[in-house]
Amino acid sequence: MKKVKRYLRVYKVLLRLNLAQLLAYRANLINSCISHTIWGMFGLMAMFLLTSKNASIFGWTRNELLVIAATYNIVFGVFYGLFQRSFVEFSNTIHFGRLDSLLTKPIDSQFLLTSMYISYTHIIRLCIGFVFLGILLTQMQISITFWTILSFLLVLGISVLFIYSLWFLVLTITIWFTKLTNLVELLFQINGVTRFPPDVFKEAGLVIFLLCFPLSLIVIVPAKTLLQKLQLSDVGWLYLLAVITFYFSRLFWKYALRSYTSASG
Amino acid sequence: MKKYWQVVQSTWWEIGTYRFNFVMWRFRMLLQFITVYFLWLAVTPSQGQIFGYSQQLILTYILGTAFVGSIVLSTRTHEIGPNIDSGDLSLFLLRPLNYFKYWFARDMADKAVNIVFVIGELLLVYVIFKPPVFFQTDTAMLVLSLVAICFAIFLNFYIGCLLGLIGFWSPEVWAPRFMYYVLIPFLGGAAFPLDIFPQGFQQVMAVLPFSYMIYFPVKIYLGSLTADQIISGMTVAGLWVILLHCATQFTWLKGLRNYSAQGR
Repeated sequence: MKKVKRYLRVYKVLLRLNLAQLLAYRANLINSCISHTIWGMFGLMAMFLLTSKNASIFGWTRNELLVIAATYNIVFGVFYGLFQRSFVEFSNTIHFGRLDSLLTKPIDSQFLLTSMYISYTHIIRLCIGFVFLGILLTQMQISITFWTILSFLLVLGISVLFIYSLWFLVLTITIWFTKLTNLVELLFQINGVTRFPPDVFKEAGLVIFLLCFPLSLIVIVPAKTLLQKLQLSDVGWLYLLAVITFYFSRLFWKYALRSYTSASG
Repeated sequence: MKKYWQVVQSTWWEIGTYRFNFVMWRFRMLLQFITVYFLWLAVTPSQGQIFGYSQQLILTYILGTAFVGSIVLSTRTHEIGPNIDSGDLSLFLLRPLNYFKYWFARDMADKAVNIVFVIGELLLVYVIFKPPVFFQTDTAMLVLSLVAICFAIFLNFYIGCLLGLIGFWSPEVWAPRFMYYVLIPFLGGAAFPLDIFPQGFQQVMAVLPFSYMIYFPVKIYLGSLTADQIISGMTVAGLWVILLHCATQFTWLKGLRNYSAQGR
């Protein structure tokens, strides 16, 4: 309990520092808010246009696909808000030897490395996602109960844990290949794949379909929770993938640290 | 010219130094093609049309924008802002080197690598998935689309330079550049053909430079534009190149008066 309180205290300080940094450059703040608004709207608008000539695609109705697009904003609004900046700085932290100062602190290095930076402006994407979800679910006459919201939040947490573990697992490779700036860009690209139902990639061949299927669970399962189409197997798969990926990401990080040679000095 | 050729070569060496990073970059581009291609394949009926485009034309448009976009939008001008902010610009001012020709040479090196690999990636997509693409056989259209791509390269270069020159006045140049990267797939026609939007929007886009970066060259290739539309498009693109060139020179001279080599 004492340990948890300590971590919460540290996190509170990080939140405060990031807020101060955000407010220091006001033009940047405004620009960031506008960019995230455009980015959040763009995904929804793209799906709106793509589905304007089709009543359904692979068994998903237009409204259901828009719910997926709005859920994408929420899932990745949370993930990017909490972790994106830290992950983008990941390879630079290792390359310039800044990991030394994190390793010498009396706190878990994985926690510090992935929580150092917080992006508050992603709250805008969250808000856009929630507003559109509200409108769509009302149009579809789907009633949202307290249990639906609770289930959604639980599944959202599992999805975020899965993406976090995946990113952390992949980016740990930068301990050995420090200038892998394109790895983060690749992960952003992979995140983009999750906004579509896996059926879209059925014609791409079995290998690609099987690779895309686990990723598609990240957004589809929370969306299905709201659409009240959720099956136990969906949650089961997502939970299993999240736990296994988290466990292996942690194991891999501890293994990688044995190979870490500082760049400082 | 020899010194700029040296800059091109050193950029190639730089790209080749971190090989795994380079492989990741190409894999990412391939994943981008595949994602976009299969998404459009899923929404486009094999018979009939979507947004006035047959399946063949829309898939050719999408792969065409991927090809043109990877050439036009690849740039090194994002390094200008940090270069100014860190004070490293001082080194360039001391050298017998035109600053913008230097960055243009680096851009060309980047684009040369992109062209070679994107052709390979598109060939791979074609061989594996056999998309129903349209191959333009009219030599005039091919030449005109190449000319339009050249205009597009200059447009993106000068816009990139202008965004980088913000570094003379603000240490934070990433925000406006990020906004540009967010907007350009939409305004440039990479995400959707611009002719699916209302007429008013299309008229506005016709006077702005963005539609000439990706949409215009691809539409010429598809043979979808009349001679009048091509001539007026080329004229507008040419005027924007001249305007942006003058704006870049003006901003550069104004910025130099403000420059204090703060990082050094």
